[in-house]
Amino acid sequence: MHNYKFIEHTADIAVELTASTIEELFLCAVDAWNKAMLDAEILYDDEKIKLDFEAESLEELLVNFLSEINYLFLTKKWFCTSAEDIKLIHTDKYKLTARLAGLIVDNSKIDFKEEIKAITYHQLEIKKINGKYTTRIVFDI
Amino acid sequence: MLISGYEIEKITDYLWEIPKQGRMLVPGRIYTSKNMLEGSLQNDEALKQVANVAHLPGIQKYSLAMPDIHWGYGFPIGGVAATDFDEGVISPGGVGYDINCGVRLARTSLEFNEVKSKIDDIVKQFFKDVPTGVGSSGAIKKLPPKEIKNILINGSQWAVEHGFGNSDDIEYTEEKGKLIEADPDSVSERAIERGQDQAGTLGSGNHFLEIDVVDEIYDEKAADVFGIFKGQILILIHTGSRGLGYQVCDDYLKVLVKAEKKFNFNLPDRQLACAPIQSQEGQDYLHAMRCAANFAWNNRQIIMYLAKKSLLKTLNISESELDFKLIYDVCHNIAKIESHNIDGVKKKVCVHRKGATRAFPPGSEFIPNKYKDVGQPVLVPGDMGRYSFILSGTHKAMEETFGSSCHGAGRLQSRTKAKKSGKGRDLIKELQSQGISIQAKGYGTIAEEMPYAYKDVFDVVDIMHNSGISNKVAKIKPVGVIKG
Repeated sequence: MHNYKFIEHTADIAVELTASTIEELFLCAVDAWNKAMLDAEILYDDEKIKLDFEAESLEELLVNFLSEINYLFLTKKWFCTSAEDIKLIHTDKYKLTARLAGLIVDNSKIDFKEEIKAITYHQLEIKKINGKYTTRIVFDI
Repeated sequence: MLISGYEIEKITDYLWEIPKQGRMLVPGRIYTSKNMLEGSLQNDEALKQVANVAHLPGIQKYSLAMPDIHWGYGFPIGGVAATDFDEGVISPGGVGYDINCGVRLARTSLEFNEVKSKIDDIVKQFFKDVPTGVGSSGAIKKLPPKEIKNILINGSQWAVEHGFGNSDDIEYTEEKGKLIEADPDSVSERAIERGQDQAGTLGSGNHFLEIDVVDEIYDEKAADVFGIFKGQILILIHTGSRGLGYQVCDDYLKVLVKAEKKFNFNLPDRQLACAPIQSQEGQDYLHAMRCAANFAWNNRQIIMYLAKKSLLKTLNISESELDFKLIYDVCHNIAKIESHNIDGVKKKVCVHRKGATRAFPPGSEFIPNKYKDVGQPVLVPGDMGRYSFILSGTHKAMEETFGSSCHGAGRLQSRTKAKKSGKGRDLIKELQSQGISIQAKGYGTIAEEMPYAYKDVFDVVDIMHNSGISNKVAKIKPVGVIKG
């Protein structure tokens, strides 16, 4: 179970994520990124991408993960439609493996709402409250 | 007066102070009014950010904020801080993601009355010729990394050398469109990749290309020197370093978060990540940031050229009839090494201007000869429905704000709220009824950028004028706008 809610932000886009597990929180972040970019839903995909990351904190891992998805869109025109599988291991560092679904898009044919230019650390703190993982994330546009 | 948790002391009607407290190294000073303090700043985190910036090692005199101050990442937008060149730090949070986001103003010989009926056509042509919107690309052919590196070193000189403008344009660009000691080896491959097809593109958000008309002249002498007259058509460009600059900022935030820990600065906000200017990390960021700044100047230079071509084509006139000349190009997101008078001694400092414009005075060796009698043009865009301002730099700015002034209006409503406010209304028609022709990639952008979503830039500019930091020269009004 996970959900996200866009909240008021004067200049950029802020979203609050809630999920039962850390993995779901990351899935939820991908959904929120997708929704921030596009109102319509793209129901098909033609390419899966596997990503591996490691970081010293969960926050750094989340920023790096979303930054990579954003980079793939901005430079390769590969738009992530969903995260299909996320695995997270915590040893001395946080390690993440993710399988993403998406497709190459033509910007001139799809009405993207915003250009997310960066994933920021502002107010980003992953916390466990009443058994649920939660965080706020701000996309710089 | 208690504002946003801080006891604020009045210095003058337009200057207010957060006294030094806790681990602050200097006091905070905000150019604002009682109304703004009790209004938009009452529940804003921006004042806390002014206080946070005062913790930066090596900060000189004050942590400053201009009247368009609002909440940002690390530094507030509208924040100015100078740090000691030898012992101070440099912080990407004091520059912002969009390195060298800035404004370029060009003049024409045209009068509004002559071209009134052609404004719609010009706007449509601009929209065809200047790529806008999410991931916009392809103004010029995609450039190989080697050519991007040349841009990173040479700034707008690259554009001029490749036929996108002339040498006069260089003269009238801050820093002549090129910061020296820019090192492309400090810029990641990823950043270069993001820039490869974005030279000459406007992008999205609040970036724009506008046709403006000179509406009111306040300072005849300065207006004359800048080549401005009432009723004249001007072209205003607002954009920055696009994805390349964002990637540089992103890359170095990671490096400097680690550096801040390594140097044990213990700052109150992670987004104030910084490193000593003289450290390897600090030097690498400085070299990369200068590259992104140069990319932005080149970007605005190409857009200006594309705008000229559009004007010539639509109006079917010759170059000499159009007489398209650059008035000035200023950056408002930057960190620069400058010399300033600190307690009576000239000192080398790193001036961070984040959402703040350089405003050098008459006689400055760093401004074009032609402007030496009146000071540097300071370009302050407002919103797309009301007006923007041209100011001039003053000696008081050199004494009080490290030669800095405001940069714009600042948002009043969130993008979501602005969209809600626009629901059920025909915003394009509303703008047309005010005499403004608009083209944008999406209707959402128009709703987000409507005048009601912004503060009145008049109030901001008035504070700068009344406090003597910059002088009002002219007010200009938009008649044609393209947005991303």
